Amino acid sequence: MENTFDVIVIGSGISGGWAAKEFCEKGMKTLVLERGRNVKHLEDYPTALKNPWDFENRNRMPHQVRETNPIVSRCYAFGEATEHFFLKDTEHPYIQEKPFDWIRGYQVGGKSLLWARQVQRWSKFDFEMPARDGFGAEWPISYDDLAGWYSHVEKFVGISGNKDGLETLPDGEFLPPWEMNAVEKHIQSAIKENYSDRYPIIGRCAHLTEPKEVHLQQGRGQCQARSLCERGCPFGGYFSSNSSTLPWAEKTGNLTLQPDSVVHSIIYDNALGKATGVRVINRLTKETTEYYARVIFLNASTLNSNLVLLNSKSDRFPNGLGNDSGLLGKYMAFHNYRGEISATYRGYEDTYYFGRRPTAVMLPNFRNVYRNDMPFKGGYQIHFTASRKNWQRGISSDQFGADFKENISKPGDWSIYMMAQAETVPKEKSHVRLSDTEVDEWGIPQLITSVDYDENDELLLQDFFKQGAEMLEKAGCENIHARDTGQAPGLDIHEMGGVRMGPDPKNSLLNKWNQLHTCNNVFVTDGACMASTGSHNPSLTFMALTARAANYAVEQMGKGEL
Amino acid sequence: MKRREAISSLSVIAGGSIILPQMLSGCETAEHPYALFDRGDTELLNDIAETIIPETPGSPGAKAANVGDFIQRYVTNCFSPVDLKIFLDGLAHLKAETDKNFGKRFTSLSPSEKYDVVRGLEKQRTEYQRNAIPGTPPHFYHLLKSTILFGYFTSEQGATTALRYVPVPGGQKGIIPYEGEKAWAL
Ligand SMILES: Cc1cc2nc3c(=O)[nH]c(=O)nc-3n(C[C@H](O)[C@H](O)[C@H](O)COP(=O)(O)OP(=O)(O)OC[C@H]3O[C@@H](n4cnc5c(N)ncnc54)[C@H](O)[C@@H]3O)c2cc1C
Repeated sequence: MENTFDVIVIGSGISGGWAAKEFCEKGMKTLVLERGRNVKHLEDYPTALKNPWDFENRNRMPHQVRETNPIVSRCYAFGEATEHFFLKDTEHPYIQEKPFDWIRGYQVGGKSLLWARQVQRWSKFDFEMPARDGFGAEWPISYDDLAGWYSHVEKFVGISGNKDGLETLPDGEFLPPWEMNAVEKHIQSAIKENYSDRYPIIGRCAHLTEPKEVHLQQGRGQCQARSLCERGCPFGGYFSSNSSTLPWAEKTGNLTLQPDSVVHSIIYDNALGKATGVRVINRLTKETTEYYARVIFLNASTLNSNLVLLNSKSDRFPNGLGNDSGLLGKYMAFHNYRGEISATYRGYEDTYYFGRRPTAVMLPNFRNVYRNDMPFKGGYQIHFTASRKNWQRGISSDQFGADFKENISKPGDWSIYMMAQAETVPKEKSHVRLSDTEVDEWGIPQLITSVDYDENDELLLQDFFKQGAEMLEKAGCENIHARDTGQAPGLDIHEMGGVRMGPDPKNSLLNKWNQLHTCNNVFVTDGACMASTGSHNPSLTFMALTARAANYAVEQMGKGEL
Repeated sequence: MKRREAISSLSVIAGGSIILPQMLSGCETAEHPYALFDRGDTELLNDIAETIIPETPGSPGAKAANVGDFIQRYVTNCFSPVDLKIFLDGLAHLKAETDKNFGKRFTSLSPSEKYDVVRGLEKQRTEYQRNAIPGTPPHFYHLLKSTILFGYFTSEQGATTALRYVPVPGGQKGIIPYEGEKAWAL
């Protein structure tokens, strides 16, 4: 039959790329449907080699663009060098019942081109904590179920890191780590000396510090420490779907990658009791086409995967595919990024650093690890960096002239920046749903976001402010200033949930293999599947879950079960 | 249309965001690419910038980097209407004051007179900031100085001579000895 494949993957970002790779390698004819335009590795990175002075406004965005696109303009990575990889606010509107900054990249590769590439494995504590401490649902899997898949993904992606032997942050398959500078090392030892439960380590990130054979086979090379990654890397130094999983899938001859294909909904066949395919609207012509497959992987990124399921209505599932429990779109959560601390340090003026390291120092969560002994639930992970001040310190100086120029041309004192990445509690009332009245350009209902902070977030934030400042103080830092950025949920770009996994179909939507409990040939393996948020950068876990689920699906297809 | 009129039409649309160059074209500054500025402003801004970031041994100053041109482009494109008005008003005021106090333009002043004018601007900013409460709009000179520094240190001349520009480091070292060299540009 025309338009028929073994597997359809919806979305070509970080998780969809992984689904495509696993299925194609196993011989499955795979159709990847992507709503955005095509972006080819190397060819479509127009700004990758530009100098600061090559940009009209030196990489800052015009006022008019910021005025008309306030949401995406709040993302730190949005600038003249990267704007072509970000969706503008106006291109796909949604309704904020409560403020939510939804940052999106609609193109082949999705947000994998733009991400900051920080990766950490969850530990067993992260899976156990929500049910143990009564703030979340039980996870249907444990760390042991995922450990092998973390390894599988890490080897292919290429992750730099140090084997630190921490129970709270399991080691992985690592390429050589990046180095801390003198002040970071100093703070690291001060924290270790003063606290028996805190171990700052060098961050782990998806960069090839020393490519292995499998990376060279992908056509990727060593990271050059340029730190201009979000433009697309001409060296293939960091992992993106475009540089890695998609070309790998393509080489098998089993991949059909179709850009400009907006998935409207999944088609459910009542008689067969399963999904048979998807309805697609061409982004440009608005023409509708149907595609069919035995298995469907939904990887449109958290909110869009919720949207597709909510919009997949049938007689059997009038409230959205797989939504017997009524929980679809609910228990939406994110990471609290509101906590920032800055400080200065006097000393080590005789040292500097070279190259632009694509990671920070990180301190794995040390709160509520073994039991809930804090007045709040969940944990937080801290990232910090030390660097020497640059010419910008000259702006507020009252000096000018030749000596002033000489002075600010040299590195200044050390300054420290620290931030928290905090777990949030998934709540039933935090949800997304479809608008009854507003539709988008393709006639698809707009999404309404109703997600907010709560008391737990405030308590946790205060704890970070106190602990962070105390740690810096003990390390001899000065001018310690804590700041609540006040930013809305979503700007963390770690939105998770809405289609959560769980052992019980009554209070979850997906089983332990990421299959819809009530429509088992539809799998959701992006952030939508998350039953809790942990305090880690989430994408590595999305990749591991995707690879695991895809291999399970292949097995089941082989047995004729799917 | 003269710049002063341009400013008043600006205040009409302040809050809105689009300033169309066509609105302001066809008048006496037509050849000048920045409709909100006068032709002489490139030299004026270059001269002020050079006073703040002069040429030093082995490193051209802000004028050679044509920071004056960049400032007009950047201010036009990227400033909010509030900052834009402060900037244009401040620049007009600076010109009027120099005329009044010296009987000539800034660009014709001696180096020491230029120094005094900028010293005066620094002082005004300090006074202004002393009384500022949170939410007070920035002082004209603060906007000017930050744009000059930004324009210079991200220019080819500034990044490659006043700083060390290494577009492709090739690797990273956490600790290297420091003996008074220039800072990295990126
Ligand atoms: C600036 C930035 C920094 C980040 N830093 C980190 C970090 O350091 N570490 C980390 O772990 N994560 C980070 N993230 C988050 C990370 O990018 C996401 O977690 C990850 O990309 C999610 O993968 P995904 O496959 O779910 O979604 P995406 O990568 O967003 O891909 C989804 C794809 O689906 C497509 N799509 C959507 N709807 C439809 C539809 N209806 N039909 C067809 N196609 C559709 C989209 O166009 C998109 O291409 C960062 C993100 C950003 C933007």
